[in-house]
Amino acid sequence: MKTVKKFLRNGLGVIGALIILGLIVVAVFANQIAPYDPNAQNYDQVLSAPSSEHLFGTDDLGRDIFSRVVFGARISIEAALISVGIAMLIGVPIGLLSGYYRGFWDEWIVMRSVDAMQAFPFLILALAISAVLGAGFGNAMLAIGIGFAPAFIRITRGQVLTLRNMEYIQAARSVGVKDARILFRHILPNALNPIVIQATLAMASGIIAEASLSYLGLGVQPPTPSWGSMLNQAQTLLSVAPYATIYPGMAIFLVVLGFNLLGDGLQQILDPRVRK
Amino acid sequence: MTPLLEVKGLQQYFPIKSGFLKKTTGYVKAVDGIDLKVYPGETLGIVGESGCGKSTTGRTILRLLEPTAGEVWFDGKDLAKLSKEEMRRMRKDLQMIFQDPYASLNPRMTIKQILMESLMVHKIGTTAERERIIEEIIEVVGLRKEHLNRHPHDFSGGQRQRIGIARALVVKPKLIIADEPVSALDVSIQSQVLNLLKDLKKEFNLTLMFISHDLSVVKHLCDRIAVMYLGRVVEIADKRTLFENPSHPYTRALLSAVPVAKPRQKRERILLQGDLPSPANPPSGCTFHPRCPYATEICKTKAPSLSDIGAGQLVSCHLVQSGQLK
Amino acid sequence: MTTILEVEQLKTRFRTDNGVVSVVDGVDFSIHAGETLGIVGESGCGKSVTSLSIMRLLPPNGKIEGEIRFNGKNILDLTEKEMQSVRGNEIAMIFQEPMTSLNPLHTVGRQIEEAIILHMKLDKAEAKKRAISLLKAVGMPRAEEIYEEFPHQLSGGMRQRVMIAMAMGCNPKLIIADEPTTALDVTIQAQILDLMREVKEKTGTSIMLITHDLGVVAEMCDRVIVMYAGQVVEETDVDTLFENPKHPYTIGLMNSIPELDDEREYLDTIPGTVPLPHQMPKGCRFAPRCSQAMAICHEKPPELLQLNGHKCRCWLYAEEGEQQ
Repeated sequence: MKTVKKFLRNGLGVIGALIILGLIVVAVFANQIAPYDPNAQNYDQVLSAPSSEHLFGTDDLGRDIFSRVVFGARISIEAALISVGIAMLIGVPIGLLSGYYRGFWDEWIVMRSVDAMQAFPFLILALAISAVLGAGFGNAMLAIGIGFAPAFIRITRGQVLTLRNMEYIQAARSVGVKDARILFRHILPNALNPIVIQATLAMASGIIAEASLSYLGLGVQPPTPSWGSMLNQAQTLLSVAPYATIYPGMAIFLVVLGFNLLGDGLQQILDPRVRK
Repeated sequence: MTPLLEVKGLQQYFPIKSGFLKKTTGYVKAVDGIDLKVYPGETLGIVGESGCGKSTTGRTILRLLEPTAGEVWFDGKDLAKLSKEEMRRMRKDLQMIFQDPYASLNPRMTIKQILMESLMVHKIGTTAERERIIEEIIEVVGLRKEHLNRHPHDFSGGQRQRIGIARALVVKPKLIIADEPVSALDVSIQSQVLNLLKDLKKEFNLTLMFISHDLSVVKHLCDRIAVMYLGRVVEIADKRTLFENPSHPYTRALLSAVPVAKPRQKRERILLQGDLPSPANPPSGCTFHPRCPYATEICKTKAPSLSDIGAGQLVSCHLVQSGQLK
Repeated sequence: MTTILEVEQLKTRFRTDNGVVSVVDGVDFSIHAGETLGIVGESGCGKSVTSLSIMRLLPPNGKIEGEIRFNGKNILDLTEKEMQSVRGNEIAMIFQEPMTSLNPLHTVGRQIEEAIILHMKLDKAEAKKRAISLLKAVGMPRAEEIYEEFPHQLSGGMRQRVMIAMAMGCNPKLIIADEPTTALDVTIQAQILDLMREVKEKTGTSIMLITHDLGVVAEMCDRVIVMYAGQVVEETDVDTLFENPKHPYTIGLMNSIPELDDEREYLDTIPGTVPLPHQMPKGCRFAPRCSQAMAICHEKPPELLQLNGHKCRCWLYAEEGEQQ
């Protein structure tokens, strides 16, 4: 309760949370909100400027941009959740085991691989992985997830390294608690806060990454509306129909801002190092 | 009487790693060959200053740290040779009380969950029995049943240390190692916890190894006392002998350094020169010789070993053993 | 005897999540020239906040009321700039943790010189000479070499010697030592206490020694103040305090400590815990833990009574106080 109150006092964090909430509402009620079928082509109204009929205008196939942006929210949320979910699924257990058992595997295999992966610019890495896996939404998610995993390995491992020396972990060992229980009952819950913060911030990057991969044609395939692929298709029309790029671009900007504000807000209340 | 715990030649060396390839370039000899016996029902105090290895000794006996060498005989088994799983089961009989009551309780668990965990991992009793055991033990340590559903942060330092004691007691261990259990507490709270420990000793016939830097506290609670210096035991004796007739020069200096709450009483004080040498590079011979006011040539070259100078008083000092130092 | 520090009705409050709390609540005392005054109490009694108030080193959410007269001037009226010329110059402080109170990035010499150059207006070479002689004065072997070393190269006891050298740097009239030996081992503590006595005898500076250790008080102090829950509960000279303590808290504190020549089976205890600053009892603040509490103790807060050179805040002595 106290945590919630503290969070509410953090203005920017609340704004972030509201933006994300708005995004979720839009994604869930996309069918009700969107006035048109996002994939319905209307050759009578190709590239029409924003009007009361088409709030954000139409694209080169006469599709309603507003409806496509609304349905694109679904893809973006999926992208954020799935990519970060995959990253956590890979990163958290590896970080836990690596930090708890230490030794050769931790130092020479896990951490050096993490170093190597983090030495690449993230997008190049995701690009390379999805080029190997092939185009498509699922593969794009896997590529982004793998690309994010090192950050989770690092942050989880760092937490474990501090926590494993805490006296209550020693106490649990001295009582005779098994390693698995120590890891999941004692260490993980206490390591969770920074992981949650990292996850929120990673979701913002996940949305950008999905948009970028889709923009490059490796993510969501046409005609499914994704903000990134919309940008991709509209870029050749930039001089003729700027609105076709502006609206999906603004949607990306707003949502990424929302996740970042939320992440910073959570950090303020959850991370004792930042807390004043 | 056969000892409950017998430690023989226990060593705990921590490697010092340096360079890019993390090569081991030396060792911190935190515990450097210790022999100890703890008899059933007694309280053995281990006293010494920071860096003397007293806490490391406790943790190595319990295999919270893996010993570098040595034997730890407990109940007919060498703990140092048990597999991890055998040792884990053994922990039912060997419990620990930690120093910092703020850090030694998981902040996310309730007191009930903390106590229940000990019973659960050793499969003691049915759920109903466990509830009863926990309700009993919480009152034994001076708290109430209502406290069980709260979290550690709802308690004061003294109350938390009572919870730590309850956690150690709840599985009815044969030996408890208490590592500075009162040094984080204010004096008025410290006395409450010391009295509680004294009561528990009687009520449960506890065997206790009590690690502390505070000589007065050790004297108050313990039956026999071992004094450690730089990873070794320099003197062991029963309480009365040690305080009335301290033999090792370090023990003498340590006793004389304790400030006494009697302003008019002026005492002869042995002021030791210099600081504790680094356990990574201990002095040759007797490790105390650079600070010892009585040191002679032999002390610089030959390391003394513990030997009985009468009445079960073991001292590790050439001068005392040869009668040069009375 | 000249009085160098007079603290009158000192009240220090902090704004916190639980509202405004008074950590120090109406503290009076004075320190004479060349005297060592001990301030004893357990954690939360306000002894450290008292010293930080005198130095005006409180965090921004703290507020000081009352008067702190140093050499006759009220420190609380000084501007921050004027205060800076007092700190480290006329009043110096020694902290409990020598590691965290020394800057790890600067050499020992540079840290000792800093105040000397600032306050004594010496040039670099003179300051260095003084720093080295100070290091020698606090019993440092190899003073010239240690001048060039960094704090992490020194042991805890050596660092505390450096802190003392820094405090002595400008010949302060008052040194405030906040638990100066608590982080040290007994044999090192004995060395440092010895050194502090020597410094006092040589320079005639006054010392305000804050500690929880009655043994340290007995060895070091001339006069003692016992604090409980933000107030002074007893004040007297050191001999009287140990021979004839009056306040039930002081008595309880003394009897709860095991002593080396102690043969008691059980220690006396003070039941319960110190009240939190925002939950102070209505009457005497010690009443809920006091074995001798009477009806009035729970109703009305007692005054600090004057009892023939012995001050005590307790209803038990109300009659005695009236007679005098």
